[in-house]
This record gives sequence, C-alpha cells and structure tokens, in this order.
Amino acid sequence: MKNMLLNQITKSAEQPDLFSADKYNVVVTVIAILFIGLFGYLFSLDKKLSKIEQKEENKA
Amino acid sequence: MQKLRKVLTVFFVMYAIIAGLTLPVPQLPILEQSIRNLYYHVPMWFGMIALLVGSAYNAYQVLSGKGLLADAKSNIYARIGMLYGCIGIVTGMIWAKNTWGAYWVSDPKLNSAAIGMLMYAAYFVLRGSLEDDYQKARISAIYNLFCFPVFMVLIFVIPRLTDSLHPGNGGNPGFNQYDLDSRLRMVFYPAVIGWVLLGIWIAEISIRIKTLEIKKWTK
Repeated sequence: MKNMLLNQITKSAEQPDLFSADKYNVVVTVIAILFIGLFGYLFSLDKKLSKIEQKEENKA
Repeated sequence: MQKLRKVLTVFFVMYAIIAGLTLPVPQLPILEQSIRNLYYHVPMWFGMIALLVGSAYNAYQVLSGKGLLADAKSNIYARIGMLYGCIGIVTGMIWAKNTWGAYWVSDPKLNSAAIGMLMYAAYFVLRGSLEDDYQKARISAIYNLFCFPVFMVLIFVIPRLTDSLHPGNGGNPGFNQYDLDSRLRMVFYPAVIGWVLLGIWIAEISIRIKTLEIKKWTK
C-alpha cells in the first residue's frame, strides 16, 4: 500500500505541469466558446418563442 | 425574475467551466487532477434528480386530471433528466478509467444507476408503443410514479447497504468528510446550481415549444 502511494506520488511528480502546457488553455478556451454558443442559441430560442407566444396571445 | 435566473445560469455554468478547469485543486493520490470532474460528474446527478422530481410531479398532475400539457411536461423533464443521466454516466466512466483503472467496474452504485436508467428507457418505449394520447398520458404517468421512487432507492439506498468504491457509500468516506476542502467547495456549489438551472432552462424551452404545438392541434 505504502509502495503504491509512493509510486503514485513519484509518477505525478514526473509528469509535466498541466498548466505549463499552452494546449491546456486552448482546450479551456474552446470549451468556453462552445458553451457561449449554446447559451447564445438558448437565448435566441427564448426570444423567438416569446415573439410567437405574444402573437398567439394577440390573436386570442 | 426569469431573466435573472437565466443570467445566473450562464454565470454559474461558465464559472464552473473556467474556474473548474483552471483554479488549483488539492493534490490527492490517485485522484490527482481528475478531482476536477467533481464539478461536472456530480452536478449531472443533482440535475437529473431535480428534473426527475419535476417529471414525477407532473405525472401526478396527469393523474389529478391536468391533461395532456402535464403529460408533455412530465415527458420532457424525464427526457432532459435522462440526458443528464447519460452525461453523468459518461463523465463517471472517464473518471473511473483514470482512478479505478476501468470504464465500468462491478460497483453497486454504477449497476444501480444503469438499471434505473434502463427503467426510464422503458418509460420512453412504453410511451412510444401507445397510440391514444390520453391512454399514453395515464399509463406512462402511473409507470413514472412507480419508476421514480425505485430509481431513488437504487441510487441512494442499495449502494449504502453493500461495499462500494464510490465515495460516501458502503462505508467509504464521502468527499465532504475529508477531501472537499474550501477550494473545491468554491466551485462545486455554484457548479451544482448552474447545471441544475441549465437543465431546467432547456426543459422549459422544450415545454414552451410543446405547449405551442398542443395549442395549434386543439385549434
């Protein structure tokens, strides 16, 4: 058990720092852009639906 | 109020993504950086449960005579809930591969979640097999009200009765007991709120579309 834990700690120490790689920032940025797109889509759907609902109300 | 809720959803989800992936996390053996999945995997289950509560409540409304709109709401909440469940399973599998060494292990929580989700899959099959809308509404509402408590027992009670790899189950310490320090809490709680609100928002949009469709049919 002790050896296993030591191996894990050594292994993690050998790995390059996650944040030193520029690729990591690119991944975070891409994910953030994707979600901004999703929110933009949801807001536009919301707006369109409000317009249709308003039309329907006016008809009634 | 509606607008504020949507703005809060955007803020909390974006915060969960950006802060969740960039802020420092405690360096725990085996878990290492995979602990960041706490901000995505766990809130998916919270979101799924919130949506399934909405589904069961609307199923009860159907049986109380609220009609097809309540049935549509119940169906949509269950659908989005299952979408959250699928994302929860996938994020959990990735986490399991990196910590337990395999995508799927014979753990009571994993198996119970899979059984529960298959029960909800049967709910959709049941709905698809019925032609008459009113019959579909009543029968699927009864099945939904049977399904929901069984699913809750499957994911909350059974894993606690036997040995489990999952934190907080089968005698395992939960994250909040040792590992959920203030750095994790700072992102975890907003992440839970954000993902739950996002699920409700998506469900609401689907409900509004369905309501307009129902109004069009009944004209």
